Amino acid sequence: MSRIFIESEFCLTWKEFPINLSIDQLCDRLHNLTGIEPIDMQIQYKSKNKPQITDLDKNIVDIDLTQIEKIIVIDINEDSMVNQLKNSTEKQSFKLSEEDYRKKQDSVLQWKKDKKLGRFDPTYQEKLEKERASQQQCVTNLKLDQRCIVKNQGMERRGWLRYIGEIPEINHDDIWCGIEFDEPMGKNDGSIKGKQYFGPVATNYGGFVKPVFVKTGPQYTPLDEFASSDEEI
Amino acid sequence: MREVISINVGQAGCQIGNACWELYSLEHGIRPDGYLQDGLDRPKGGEEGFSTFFYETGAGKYVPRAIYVDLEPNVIDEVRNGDYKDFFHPEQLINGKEDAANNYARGHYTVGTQIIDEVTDRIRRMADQCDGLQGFLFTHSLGGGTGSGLGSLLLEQLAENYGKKSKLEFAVYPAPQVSTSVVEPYNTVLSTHSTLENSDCTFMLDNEAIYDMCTKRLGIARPNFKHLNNLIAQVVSSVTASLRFDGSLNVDLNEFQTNLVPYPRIHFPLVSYAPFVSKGRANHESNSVAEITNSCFEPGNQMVKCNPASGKYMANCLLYRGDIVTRDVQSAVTQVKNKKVVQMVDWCPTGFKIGICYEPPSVTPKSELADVTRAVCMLSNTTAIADAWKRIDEKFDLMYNKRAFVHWYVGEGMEEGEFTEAREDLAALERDYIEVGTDSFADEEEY
Repeated sequence: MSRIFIESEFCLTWKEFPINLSIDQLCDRLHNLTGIEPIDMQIQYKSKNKPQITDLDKNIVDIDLTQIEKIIVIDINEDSMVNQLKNSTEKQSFKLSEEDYRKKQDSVLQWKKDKKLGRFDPTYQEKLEKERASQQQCVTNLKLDQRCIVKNQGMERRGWLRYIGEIPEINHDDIWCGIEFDEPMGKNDGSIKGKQYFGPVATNYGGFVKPVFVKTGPQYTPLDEFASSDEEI
Repeated sequence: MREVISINVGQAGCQIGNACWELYSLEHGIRPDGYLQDGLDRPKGGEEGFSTFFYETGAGKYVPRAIYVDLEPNVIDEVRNGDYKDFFHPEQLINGKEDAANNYARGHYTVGTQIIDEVTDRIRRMADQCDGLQGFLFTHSLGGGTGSGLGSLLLEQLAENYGKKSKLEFAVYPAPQVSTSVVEPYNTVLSTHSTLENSDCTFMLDNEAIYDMCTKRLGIARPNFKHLNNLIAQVVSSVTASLRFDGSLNVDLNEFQTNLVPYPRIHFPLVSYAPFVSKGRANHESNSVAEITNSCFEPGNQMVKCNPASGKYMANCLLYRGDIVTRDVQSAVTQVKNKKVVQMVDWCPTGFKIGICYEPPSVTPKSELADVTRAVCMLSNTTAIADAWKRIDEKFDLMYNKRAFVHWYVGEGMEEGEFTEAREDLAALERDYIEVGTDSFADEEEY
């Protein structure tokens, strides 16, 4: 067996080849790997311990695969399937309709329904309302366009509170706080799925968090990163 | 006894099998010829643990409970002629003459069906030797022809013949940027569809993630398949260690499913491993329990490229091995929970399950990995792994929209309808993961 690296538009891999293959057999194997028809193949190879890349003459009778390290296969037919796929710009993906998914017996949705889990739990609505009420409570203490502090995920960030309210692009259950951070510690520019809720601010200076983590007040001035860094000591 | 039969299918499956059995034999004190290392009078691991993976012949030789299957002879011939040629019984090594040419349909229908009876017969004979067979451990790739096609056919047969036994898979999943063949997305989708019902738990391994570990963590400039497989073997060994070694907290094969899989279709836990220490850096690392536990949450330690921070966890299993103090584990887990890097699904029972095996990991002489006193393998059922399906589904669509290369499959007698059926099943799987991710009261969510 000879281990050869194969490189083409849709194939990039090490592959083992029996060393006694004829050119035709080699082309057949390359066809299976790369999708390129043998007649459309331009084959280049690099021998072991040699830097240059050489064109392979498909009419030669013998080829010593043990000496080859890498084979590059190029599709010279502009209309070939490989080139069509390569140049394809369509992004049409398979869509499973909600209706078809709902019909499936063996699905997580059906399981949740059967076992009364998640939103199918009779107490879910109650929890949801409680959560909403507590978010409302948090929000009453917040002032828009004031300095703020966000404490969550084991860290503390500061910035400006720029938005309070629902974000249908995320869900319909929660109230969100839009933050313009002092540092690029957020996830966006103040927009969600194309809808701008504040800003736009610079990339990753914007983010949306739950109200429970946010406090506003003029005392939350920007942190001077050089003033109180533990790492410097 | 609680025997486990390993089945390695196709080139990738067999080569990973080689790396795993080399490691197992080392860990249990068995030489490549199947006899005990000098100075041992019993294999290491304890009778119960050891005999799950090996059986003893009358002549004092130890034989792996393993079957190798490939459609073409080359890879298995290497086993027959290699260092471990006397390790296996000739009956365990099965190959055909004609390969699957990277075509699922050849592996599943035409060429595969020629060999399947022989394979199931050998498996049956091996199963008959067992007192209390727990189940099967499958190793194969999803992108190739034999691993995907014959692998899924074999799993179907096993499900039929051994319905109640556990069936776990280690599946090499296509890497995001590289591709082993143009039709890899087809093979992966078709194979995943036909194994979805038959596998109880599937651990995916993406070669690119493992390649990056070799280059970034181990400093191997140009990793080859041997490097990748050695790393994979280390992970497989960690997952199976609790089965193979009598220890304080023993795990049964079916416990993986019980602890990790809340609903049968959602059976693809993400595997992370730590530490990855190269021989050159071994003396500079302390590798405390806390450190290696934290490392498991770093993307660079994951076997599949995805972003768990954006997903939710249904279950988490931490399998420690080596010099481990329970108290250290408890505080490491508490620390992780306090950090809240882990967002759990809150409407179904979930949790952290801990496994400890006091036998430290071994490394093979040629491995780039350093000997370490302890290691951890984390298995987490996270919705983030759906990224992997999304990636492959998109590649499938690009080709199937043009019906590219579909005739290769139809030419082997496969119905074209199987393509749409499989694709729809994977769309439902993606949708299933979204459904898992909703309805949790997750304060920590951030957008």
